[in-house]
Amino acid sequence: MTALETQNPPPAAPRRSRVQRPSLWRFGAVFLAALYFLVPLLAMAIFSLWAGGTSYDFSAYAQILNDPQFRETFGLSLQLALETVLLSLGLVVPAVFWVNLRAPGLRNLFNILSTLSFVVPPIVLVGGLTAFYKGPAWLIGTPQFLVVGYVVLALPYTYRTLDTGMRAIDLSTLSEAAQSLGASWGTVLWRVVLPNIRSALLGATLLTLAIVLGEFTLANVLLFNTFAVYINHIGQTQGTPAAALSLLSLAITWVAMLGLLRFGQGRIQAASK
Amino acid sequence: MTYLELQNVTKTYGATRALEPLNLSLERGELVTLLGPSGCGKTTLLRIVAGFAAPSSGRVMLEGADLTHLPPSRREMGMVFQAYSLFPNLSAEDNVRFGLRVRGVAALEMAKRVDALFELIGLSEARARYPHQLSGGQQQRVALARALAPQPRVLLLDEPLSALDARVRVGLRDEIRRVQRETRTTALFVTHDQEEALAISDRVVVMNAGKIEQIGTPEDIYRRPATPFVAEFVGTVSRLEGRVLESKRGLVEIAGQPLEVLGAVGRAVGERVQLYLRPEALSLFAPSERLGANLLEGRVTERSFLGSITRLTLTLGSGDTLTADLQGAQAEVFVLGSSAGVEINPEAPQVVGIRG
Repeated sequence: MTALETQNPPPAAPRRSRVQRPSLWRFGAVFLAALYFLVPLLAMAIFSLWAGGTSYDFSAYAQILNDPQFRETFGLSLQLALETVLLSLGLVVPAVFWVNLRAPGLRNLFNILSTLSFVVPPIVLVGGLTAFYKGPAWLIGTPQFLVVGYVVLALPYTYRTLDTGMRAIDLSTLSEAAQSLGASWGTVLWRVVLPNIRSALLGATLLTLAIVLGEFTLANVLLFNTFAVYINHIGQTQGTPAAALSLLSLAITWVAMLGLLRFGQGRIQAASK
Repeated sequence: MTYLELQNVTKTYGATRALEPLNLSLERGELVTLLGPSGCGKTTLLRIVAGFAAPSSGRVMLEGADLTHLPPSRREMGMVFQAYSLFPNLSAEDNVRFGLRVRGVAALEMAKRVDALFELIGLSEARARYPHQLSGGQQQRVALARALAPQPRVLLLDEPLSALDARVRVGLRDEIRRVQRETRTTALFVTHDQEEALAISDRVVVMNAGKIEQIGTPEDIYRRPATPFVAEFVGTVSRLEGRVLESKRGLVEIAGQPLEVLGAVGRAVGERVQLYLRPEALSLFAPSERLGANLLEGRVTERSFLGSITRLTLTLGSGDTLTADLQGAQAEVFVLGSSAGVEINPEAPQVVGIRG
């Protein structure tokens, strides 16, 4: 080896890339997780197509789709979901706005209150609601009474999502800037804060939608025929239609949520252009 | 006639007094800067004027009307914030329109004003962009236009340049001054940067620990500081302590030498005083070159090249130090360790008596 080479040794041979091995493990893990979720769905789909013996057709789907109860209960649950979203956002958005802007000391209290529905079982919630609300008749005698309970059930998700969204913006500076330009608190909330927490609003809406469409206990105990109650009834009385209904409800929920997501993201992208 | 007036304004947070009783008045059309270190109360005072904080006592008067308990949305004051405060969901143009829409200004008038403002800030081509598509300097210019759009009675600026890099800061501060002059808007500007304050203000209010130390033009503040704090906070200064030897001629013993100091005329013999000297007020000579009164001798102990000037620190025989700024070739003579004579112009030192 020359003196120059001892001073400047040749570069070491490149190490073998180890990229391939982790990629196989990752693919394997994703595949197993997918199997875990997809196999039961696939089994349910096959069962929903079984028409007895060795024949398979869509008769179970036709039966469900032609059942007026399907349309009525789904329509009711969707309506209740939208009402729950409106009431939740109407209550939680101003509350979270105020906690973040003026009363950060109340944050811990709100954190505790928002998670109470995790520790209070729905059946206990029903007992409490019926004991507390004696009227008015237009509320307690109608399915809209469920909205009160649904708001409580959705509270951990709506509060957490909206709080995260508000903490991601400079709420104080934006509010003060708007006020210095003559905006009232209502204008600050409507024209400055809400447009800047669209993602959080969308997230809260989607979570509330999913919770309400799938909620069974409150509706069943209070004797309202919602979509989840209908699914449960079909499941106890008819085999293949129950499987078809479950898949249909899953598909509908996914479509509704994806639709909302696309709608919301489209508006967010338009705003950011 | 006084346009904006703060009368005996104080602010207390629990046991902490953030603002001592303050009195301040602004004339219509002038730009006054609140200058001081962090925590001196300048932003608190600005927020009281804006209505975002209530004073513990005192009043805020605008053209004779008491605004003290009026909410910010009704004070007709525009504000430019330190943090980027443009509404992220609105374009630059819609940001500027915001205040006009809130006030229900007619569409034609709104369009005229918005056009004029974008022309004024030189960003007509960027009006359709969103805040995240603008640079920091552009965002602050749009914020300035937005604050001016509703034609506020007072413009408040809370350290609007501190988040920008140095070069952008210098350009934008001149632009703020130009826009303020062209629109003849009364403005209250908050900064901790003395160069900013001296460059753009009609008057400067130097604050410290919740109190006003001095109010004056930039020249007054710099050349005739009223208190040791002002002398040391604004600009670079050398401080020497001495004792008055003769009252009639203002003779002061400094570093063992008698010096004539105009500011010491009339002070009692034996009074201990502090002399504050600006670097540019000192003349340096090789010790052999100059003989006579008002000369101190020292050794160059530090030397910093700052571009247009060279800053020298001289240590006197007494151990006191002086800072002198020299330009160009002048500075080449005085290398590190070399001796130098310093001539003190009798008019230069600002003299402050030492109590106790």
